[in-house]
Amino acid sequence: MDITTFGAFTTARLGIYAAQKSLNVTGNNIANINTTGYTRQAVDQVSLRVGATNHYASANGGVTGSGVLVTGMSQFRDPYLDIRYRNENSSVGAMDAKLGGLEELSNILDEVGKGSDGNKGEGIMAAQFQDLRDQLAKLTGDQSTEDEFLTLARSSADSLVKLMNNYAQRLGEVEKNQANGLQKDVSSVNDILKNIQTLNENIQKGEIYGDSSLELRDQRNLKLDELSQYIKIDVTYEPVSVGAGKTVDKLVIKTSGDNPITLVDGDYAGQLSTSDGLVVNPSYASDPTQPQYLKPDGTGTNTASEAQKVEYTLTLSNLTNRNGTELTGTGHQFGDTELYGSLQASRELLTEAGEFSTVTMTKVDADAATKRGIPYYQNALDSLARKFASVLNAANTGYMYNSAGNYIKTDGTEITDIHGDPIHKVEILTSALKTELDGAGGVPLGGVLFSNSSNGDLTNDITAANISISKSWSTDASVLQNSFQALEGKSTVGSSDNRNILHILAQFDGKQDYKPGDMVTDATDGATKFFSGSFEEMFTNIEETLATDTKSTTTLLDNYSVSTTALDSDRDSVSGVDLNDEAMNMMQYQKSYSAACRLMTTLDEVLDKLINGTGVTGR
Amino acid sequence: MIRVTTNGTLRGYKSSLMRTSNAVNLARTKVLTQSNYTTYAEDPAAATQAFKLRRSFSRANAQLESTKTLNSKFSAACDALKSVKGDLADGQAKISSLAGLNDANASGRQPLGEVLQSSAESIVQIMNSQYGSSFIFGGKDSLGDAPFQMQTVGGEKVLTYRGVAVDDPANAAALKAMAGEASYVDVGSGLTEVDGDLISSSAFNGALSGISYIGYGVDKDGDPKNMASIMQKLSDIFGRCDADTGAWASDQDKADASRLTEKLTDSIDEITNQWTALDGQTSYLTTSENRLTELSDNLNEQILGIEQVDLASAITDFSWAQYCYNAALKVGNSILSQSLIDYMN
Repeated sequence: MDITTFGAFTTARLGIYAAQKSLNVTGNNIANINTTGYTRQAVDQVSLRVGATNHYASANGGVTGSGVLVTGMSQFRDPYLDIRYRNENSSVGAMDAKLGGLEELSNILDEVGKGSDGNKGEGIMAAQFQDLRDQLAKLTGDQSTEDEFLTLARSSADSLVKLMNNYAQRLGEVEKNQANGLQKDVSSVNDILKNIQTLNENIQKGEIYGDSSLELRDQRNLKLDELSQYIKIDVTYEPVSVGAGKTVDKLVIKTSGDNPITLVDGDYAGQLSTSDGLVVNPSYASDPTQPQYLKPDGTGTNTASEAQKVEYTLTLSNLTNRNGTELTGTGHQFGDTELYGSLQASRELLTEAGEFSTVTMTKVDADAATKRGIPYYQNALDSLARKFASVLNAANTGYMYNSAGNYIKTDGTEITDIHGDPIHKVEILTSALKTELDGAGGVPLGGVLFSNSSNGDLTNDITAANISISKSWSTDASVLQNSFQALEGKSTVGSSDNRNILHILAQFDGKQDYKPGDMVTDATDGATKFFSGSFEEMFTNIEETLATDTKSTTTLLDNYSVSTTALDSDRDSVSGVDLNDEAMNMMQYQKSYSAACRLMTTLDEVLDKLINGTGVTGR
Repeated sequence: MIRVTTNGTLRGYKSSLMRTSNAVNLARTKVLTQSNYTTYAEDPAAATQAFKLRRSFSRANAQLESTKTLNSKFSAACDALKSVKGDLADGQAKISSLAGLNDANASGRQPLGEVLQSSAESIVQIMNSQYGSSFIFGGKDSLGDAPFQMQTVGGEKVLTYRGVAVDDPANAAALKAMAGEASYVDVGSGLTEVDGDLISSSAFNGALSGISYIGYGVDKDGDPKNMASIMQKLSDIFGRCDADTGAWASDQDKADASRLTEKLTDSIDEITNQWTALDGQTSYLTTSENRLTELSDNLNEQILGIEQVDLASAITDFSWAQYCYNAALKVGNSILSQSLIDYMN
C-alpha cells in the first residue's frame, strides 16, 4: 500500500516537526552549556514507512517511506569513561583526604622555616633540645652546683617538656578534627545514597511513562561522581521487567573490591554509620542463636570485651526503600581494608599506627606496619618523650661511689656483697641492686628529673602529653646531680665535679634504640627497633617520615588529579556541548525545516495542478 | 580526543592556568623567603641534612663556648703560676733565701724570714684565685671554700689543701688522689662513653688541682715538697736566728736552711715545668677554639648552602615563571574567541 494523496503532507509535517524538535534540542544544548553535569542531547529519529509488505505492494512500482518519526531523546555518554573517571576519582578522594590529614599534622610537626626570630629554620622542638644541651654544657664550666645555672637548665628542660605536651595536645586535636571530618563524610555519603535512591525511583517512573528523564540521569551521574570520591564504586544497570513486556534499567551500586557490597539497588539504599568497632559475626544477622561477635582468632563470642575491635569501623544498614521495606541480610560491617576512597583514607589517618600496629591490627591488614596515620605520630612522639625521660632519669639516679668505682656508705667505707666483695657501680641501676644498696646503707643521690605529672615523681607511663618536670626537681634545682663520685676519703661529692653532667651530655649525643614494644605492649614487632639515634635525631625522623609521606601523597594526588582532569575532558569530548557543533546543527535543522516547508508548498502546487489544472482541456 | 568542546577547552585552560599560577607563586616564595624549601615535604633529604648540620652547628657552638671558658680559666691559671714562679718564688723567695744563707751581713736574716713568710702567704693567696665564682686551683671541688689555707696548729703553720694538710705523710693517698683529680669538659674531641665510663681522651680535663702545681707530701729527707711550705719552713728557720747577729739558732737550722733553699730551687724548677705543661694545654685550647670557630663557620656556610637559594637562579626562575604565566594569560584572552555562531547571519 502506498501513501495516500494527502499523505505526503504528513511527510512534510513530520519533517517540520523533526526539524523543530532538533532545533529545540539544539537550543536546550546551547542553553545548558554551563550546566554542571549536563550531557549533550540529540533527537532520536527514524525513517517512517507506513503499511506492510503485501502481495500487491510492488505492483505499482517502488515503495516509498512516509517521512521521519521522532522516537525520543537520547544523551551522548560513554559509560566506560564514567567507570574510568570514577575509579580515578576515588584515588583523588583518597589522596586528597590523606594529604589533608598529613598537612594538618605537618602544621605541628614540620619545623622547617620555624624558630626564633633571628634563627629561622632551626626549628622549635629541635632548638629546645639544643638549648637544654647548651645549658647542661654550661654546667660543665665549673658551675655544676651553682644554683642559678641549675635553675637555667631546669627552665630549659621545663620548656622542652611543655613543648612536648603542646605537640601532643595538638596531635589530639588533629585526631578530633579528623574524627569529626569522618562523621561529616559519612553523613554526606548517606545524603548521596538517599538522593540516588530518590532519583532512581523517579527515573524508573519516568521510564514507565516513556520519558527518558535525561535531566534526572544527569543529576544521578553527578551524584555518582560525587560518591566515587568517598568510596570506590562499581555501577551497573540491570534491565528489570515492569510488566506489559516493558523493561526499565535499574541502577545498582556496589563497592569495588574482592567482596562487592551493594550500597544501592534501584529504589533500595543503605545508610552508613560508624560503630563501636566490635567485629560482628556475619552469621549472627540471619541466625541470632550464633555468637554476636568475632574474636581476633575468628571464633565467636558474646562478650563484647573479648571481641576483636577495629576502630572507626563503618557499617552499612540493610537496604531500605522509601516505604521502609528492608532487604534483610543486605547490611554489612566493612572490614579494615574493604573500602577505598576518601572515607577509607580518613579511617586510615585515624587508625593506622605503622610500626606500632598491634598483632590484631596486623591480622586484619597485613600492610598495617607501613601505613602511618595519626596514632603513629602520637606513638612516635610518646616514645621520644618516654625514652628521653627514662634515659635522663636513669642517668640522674644513683648511689655514691668512691674513686675506685665501688659503692660506699656515708662513712666512706665500701659496701660489700654476700661474698664480701665490693659492689662496683653500674650504668643502670636494677631495682634489686637498689634494694640491696638501700639495705646496706648506700647513699642515694640525684633523683627523678621527669615524671608523668608535675605533682609527683612517678615515672610510669610517661607520654608526650603528660611528661613533666618531677615535683622534686621543680622544688629543688640541685636534684640534677653533678656527680656520684665521692671526693677521696670523704662522703661528699666535689662541688665542681661534673662527671654526671657530662654523662647526661653523652646520653644526648648517644644513640638510643626505639622499639614499638616500649609504647604498645602487644605490638607485632614490639622488640624490633624501628629507629636508632639521639633524641634530636628521633624527632627529625618523625618529621622526615611525615614529610616523605606528604611528598609522595602530593605526587600521587597530582598524578591522579591530572588523569582525572584528562578523563573528565575525555568525557566532555563525548558529552559536552560545543558551540561550533551546535551552530552547525542550528544551520542544518533550519535548512531542513525550510526544506520541509518547501516540500509542503511543492505538494500544494502539485495538488493544485492535479485538482484545479487537470482535466480541463478545451474548457 | 575526538571532539574538543568549548567547556573541555576551558577546563583544560583553567587547570593549566592554575598550574602556571602555582609555579609563579612557588618561584615568588623562593625569592621572597630566600629559602630553597619552605616545608619539610618540599625537599625531605635537604631538610634532614640541614637539621643534622644545625645540630652539629649547635654542638660546635656549645663546645666553642666551653673551650673559651676553659681557655680563659687556663690563661688565668697560667698567669697565676707565672706570678708564683716569677715574682714570688724566683724573685722574692729564692733571692731572700739565698741572701739569708750567704749574706755576710747576717743580721738581715729575720727580715728575710718575714719576706719569705709573706711570699708563702702570697703564694697561698694567688693559688686561691677565682675565675667566676670558682677557685681556679680547686680541683673538682672548686665551688666550696678557698682550697689553700694556712692554719696554725700547735703554734706551727700548717698548709692545708681542701682541709687536708699537704705536708703530712699520713695524707699521702688522699693528696695523691686530689692531685690527680679530673673533671672533663666536652671540647669537641668526640665525647664518648663505653658502658657509662668516659673515654678520657674524648674530653678535656678542666680540673686544676693546686697541689699538683706547687707540690705536696714530703720527700725522702722528710722535707715538704710544697713550695709555700718550704718557704714557710725557711721563714721559721730565719725567724729563729739571732735578731742582732743573725746567728743560726742551731747547726741543724743552718743545715736545714741550706738544704731547703736547694729544694726551693728544685720546686721552682718543678713549677716551671708545670707552668710549661699548663701553657701547652692553654695553647691546645686556643687551637681548639680556632678549630671550633672555623668548624662553626664552615657548618654555617653549609647550612646556608642547603637552605638558602642562589638568588640569581631564583630570580631567573621567577622571571621565567612570570613570563609563562603572562603568556598563559594572553592565550586565555583568545580562548573564548569566536565560534561559528559569530559568523552566522
